[in-house]
Amino acid sequence: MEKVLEVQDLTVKIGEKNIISSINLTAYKGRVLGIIGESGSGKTMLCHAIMQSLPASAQITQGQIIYQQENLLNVSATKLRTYRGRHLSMIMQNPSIAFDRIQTIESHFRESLKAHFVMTKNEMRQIALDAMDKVNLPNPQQLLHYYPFQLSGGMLQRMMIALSLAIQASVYIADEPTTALDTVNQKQVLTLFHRIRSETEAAIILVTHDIGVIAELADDVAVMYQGEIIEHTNVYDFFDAPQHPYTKKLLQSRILF
Amino acid sequence: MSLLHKERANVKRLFSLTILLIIGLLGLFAPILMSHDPLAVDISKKFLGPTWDYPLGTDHLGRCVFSRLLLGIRYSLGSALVIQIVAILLAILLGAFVALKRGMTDYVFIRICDILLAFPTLVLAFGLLGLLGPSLKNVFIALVFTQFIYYSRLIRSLFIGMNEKGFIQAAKISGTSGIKLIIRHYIPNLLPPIVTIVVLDIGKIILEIAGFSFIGLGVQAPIPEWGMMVSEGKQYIRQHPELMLYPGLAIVFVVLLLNYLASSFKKLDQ
Repeated sequence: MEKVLEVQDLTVKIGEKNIISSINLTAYKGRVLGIIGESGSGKTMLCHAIMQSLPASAQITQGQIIYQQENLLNVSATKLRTYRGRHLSMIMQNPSIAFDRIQTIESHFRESLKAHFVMTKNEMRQIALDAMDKVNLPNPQQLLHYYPFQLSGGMLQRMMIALSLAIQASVYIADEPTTALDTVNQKQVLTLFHRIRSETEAAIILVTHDIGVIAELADDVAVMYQGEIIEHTNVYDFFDAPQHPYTKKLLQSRILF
Repeated sequence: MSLLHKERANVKRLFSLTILLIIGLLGLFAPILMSHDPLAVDISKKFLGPTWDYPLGTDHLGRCVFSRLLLGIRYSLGSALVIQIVAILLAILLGAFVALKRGMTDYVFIRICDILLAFPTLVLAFGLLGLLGPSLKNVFIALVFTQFIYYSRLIRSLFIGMNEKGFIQAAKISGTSGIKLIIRHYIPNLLPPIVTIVVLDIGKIILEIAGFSFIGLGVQAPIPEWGMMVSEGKQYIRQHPELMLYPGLAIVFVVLLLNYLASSFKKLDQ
């Protein structure tokens, strides 16, 4: 297993309060790392800390984020910009606010592609169409000229995944990608992640509070509770032999049919 | 907002824009449209009533009032427009810089703004004009400065409000650079409030320029600025009140139209 991204001893504080306390994580090539925890356990903050897009009030006080033998916390702003999007791609929690409502879908694609590659308009359009095709969006040609508010939540979520696919990042950080969706769309998005993993060999960090999603996709599981990772195992041990009492409680709390 | 409301705002906007555009064109082509040289003094023709030759009569020095009013568009509306544009552009530069930088820079900026904004705009401009001496150029500098402080603070807070928006974060984490963020996302999204306030304040600036000219701190004597014309006419208010009335009405009319236009933008924004 090849390491792609390594988080070591990461601590994030807001004021004096620890939001995330000394977290260690490793994402491997072609594997899905599921991070599960209740609301407020610091999952989203962890994603933002890795992307270094934390709100102004939160500060990373210690730790390292290692990608390609470099500590992302120490690289210059310009260098960080080349990593963001190009190598590390984040799929945000709420698709309806992640798009600029006065820009068309095409200009969203263009902006992301232009930030990292030198390309002609036609090349960019082709890449956008391919990416949309991959995520099963109907009528990609037409969708290019749409504005975000003309699409449904599920379509926007898939559009966001298409945007990160277009760039072919090596780490995808998906922050609750299925939470805002209905079951049909959830299923589609999960299938999509399966395909990303098998086709691109990227590492996927999947943040969720849905045990079903973990069962469906994850290879490794980290359980987060109040800003700490209390258990970090593979998916089989997570379901069959949970160690920590909180993990046991979490598994019992799932709704059984 | 109902469709009727929107339609009404559209009509309002179209109406005031058209008339303002015509006034602007009149100012632009003033040299062709003027019947006389607005600066030519001819004492033998002073205080003439309206005739075909002098549509609005002449003033105390025998100058054509109509021609002076036309050329005055440039000095009143024209310079107010330029002042506003220069001020808002500078404000966007500084406000955006401070809003994205935050930290100590932001803190110092806000304190300086607080100190300067503690004085009313007019007092601040008076002070500057007192230092620089009265002239059109200095009125320009003083007003750009006072507007600029006010606007850069406004722009800063508008930008900070956008900072935490989802799509700004999304753009940031997909690698968009700072300048592109500002040009593609911040400014287009903030255009409605910015345009509204800039248009609304053009009227205020026209009044301020006229006010400065009236008390003798602004535009100097021969230049036909509207406030200046009111000021010159005030000595003859008993015999020839129309000399104050014409430029005064022109100011009222233009300022009203600008307010009308701005309020239509506001309605559209809701």
